[in-house]
Amino acid sequence: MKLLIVEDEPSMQNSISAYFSKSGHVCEIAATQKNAEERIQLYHYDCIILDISLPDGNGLRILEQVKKKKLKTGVIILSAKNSLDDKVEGLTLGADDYLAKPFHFTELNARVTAIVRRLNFQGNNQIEIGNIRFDLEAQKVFIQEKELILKKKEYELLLFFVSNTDRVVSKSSLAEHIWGDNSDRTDSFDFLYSQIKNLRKRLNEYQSDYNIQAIYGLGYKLVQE
Amino acid sequence: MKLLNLTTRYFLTLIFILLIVWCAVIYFSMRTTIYMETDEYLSFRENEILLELKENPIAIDDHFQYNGDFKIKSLSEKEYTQFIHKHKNGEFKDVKEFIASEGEEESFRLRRSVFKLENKYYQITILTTLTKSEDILFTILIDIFIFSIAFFTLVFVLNKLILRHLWKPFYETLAKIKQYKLDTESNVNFEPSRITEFKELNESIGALIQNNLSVYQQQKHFIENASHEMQTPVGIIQSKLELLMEEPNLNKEQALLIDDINEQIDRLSRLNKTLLLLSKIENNQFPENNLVDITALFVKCCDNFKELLEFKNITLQMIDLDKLSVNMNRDLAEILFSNLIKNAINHNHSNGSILATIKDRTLTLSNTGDPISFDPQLLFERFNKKSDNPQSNGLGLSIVKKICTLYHYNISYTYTSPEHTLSILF
Repeated sequence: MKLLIVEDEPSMQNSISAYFSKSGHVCEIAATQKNAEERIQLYHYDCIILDISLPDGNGLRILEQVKKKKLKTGVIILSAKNSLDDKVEGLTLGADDYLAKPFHFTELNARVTAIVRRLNFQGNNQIEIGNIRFDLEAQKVFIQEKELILKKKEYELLLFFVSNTDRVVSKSSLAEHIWGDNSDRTDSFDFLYSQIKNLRKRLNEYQSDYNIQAIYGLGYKLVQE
Repeated sequence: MKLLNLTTRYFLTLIFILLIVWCAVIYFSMRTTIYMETDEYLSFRENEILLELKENPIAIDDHFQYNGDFKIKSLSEKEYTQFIHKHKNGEFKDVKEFIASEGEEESFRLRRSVFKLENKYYQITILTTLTKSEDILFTILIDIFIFSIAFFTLVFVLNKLILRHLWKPFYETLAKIKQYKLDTESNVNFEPSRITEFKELNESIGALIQNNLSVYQQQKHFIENASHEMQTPVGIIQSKLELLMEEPNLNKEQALLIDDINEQIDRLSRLNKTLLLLSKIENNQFPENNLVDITALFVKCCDNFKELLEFKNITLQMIDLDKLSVNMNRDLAEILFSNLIKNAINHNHSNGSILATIKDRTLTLSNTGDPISFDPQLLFERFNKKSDNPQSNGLGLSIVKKICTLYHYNISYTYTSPEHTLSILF
């Protein structure tokens, strides 16, 4: 996967690039609108991670360029403004997703993966990992072609883990993924703990190739068994 | 007590006292004048009579009875001496006498003195009626009285009218200040006044409001800007931490340290996002309003908490869900409901229950739970964090309140053991 990171904060550029490079993706960086526009003229990217507040202009103009040229490139908008105007405008202009800063990498990773998947496998909304198969359309999970019946939140959790295979998924990023930004998060960790415990049990029962491993108190990781 | 009434009251009391004093002064001064005039007349008459008697001493005998206005009586020497001794210059006296022709008593002024004529002693008494003078005095007093009452009434009415007219700008200003709310951020326009004091008052209040308004706006934008500026460093710290988590050779101690930091950064990040959201609601940055199906959205939000409710063993009952659609921002409606439901779950106990109804444009959410230990007035205040739950940032209900304030929805809280009830009237 080839990614273009449009971000003016050097520290943030490095982090995003380091995170995605680790799983073998190619990351290129543009710090200005001009530079980003030059790059999308010359190269093809699977996904652009676009910070819309740039020193030389609004990142939404880059999104307009992508759409005008009908490039087969996904765009996810990052915004520090957390402003719904940006979100609405971005999505109207054709961005694939929107994420407010600060975000969790696992969340960004899951979203970027989902965007790229949608672009590349049109019509076939399936994810396969080991003997686990997700039917994204029907929101169903099969293990060895046997359906694993999950509650809504359990399904969301498992999909999030699958999108972040071999990554450490922190408890807070799980909670945020499940509950969103704008609600108080009391008791979430107890709840998450019980949900994950249940998921692990079910995956074991179904003899899944992958299961969730606890990383000390830090978080969890979906690993091959 | 209104200033106008108080002023009128003081004014009238003063006038009343003055009028009484004035009446008394006039009465006594006129009376004195009348007596002086009468006595002067009596003395003049006495001289006239005595002069006449000296010329014609024989006539004296004819006057032993009242003849005309005077009477002469002969005295012994002893009586004469006694009278002189007592009244050196004769005496004046008020008497009342019954007048048969009038059928009533009338007042008279009497002059009595003694004199010696051809070695005989006499006493002369002269009478003159006072009735006429008294009538005049009485008429004058009545006139004064009528005039006073008229004056009194006139002052009362004029005072009211004039004062009301004079104080009108003041009351207009007062009404405007009463209606003014800082958070509407509107300016107050006062009517121009010719009166210096009121002009100054209006100018001062205008300046005060302007000052407060700018401080208030600065304050509002400060929170927004501060939260903004904090987003980037918090985001960077969070991202570096996540990279650190990915390190393959972490030992348990390091992992726990990272977890602690991560938890705090997460709290900070959420707090920041919430403050930013509050600022944005306050600054009315959610202009896009659509017709939102409140009932459907509420059910959808409840559904999102299904597993959490199960986990905490709380039953959620929805009865009487009337159809209700309201013009508002959809995202805010969702945030509103999520926070309401979350609050009802958080402050519940296990095996508790939540009851939701939508009726008469009112959404009511009741939940079981321990009574709150603080003033319910503070329930919607920011950071009123009385619960010991470290995960709660104490901003949930203040978001609810802010959204309600933005759309002028009426929100109320009641507690009837064992249930807390929050109602929102859309």
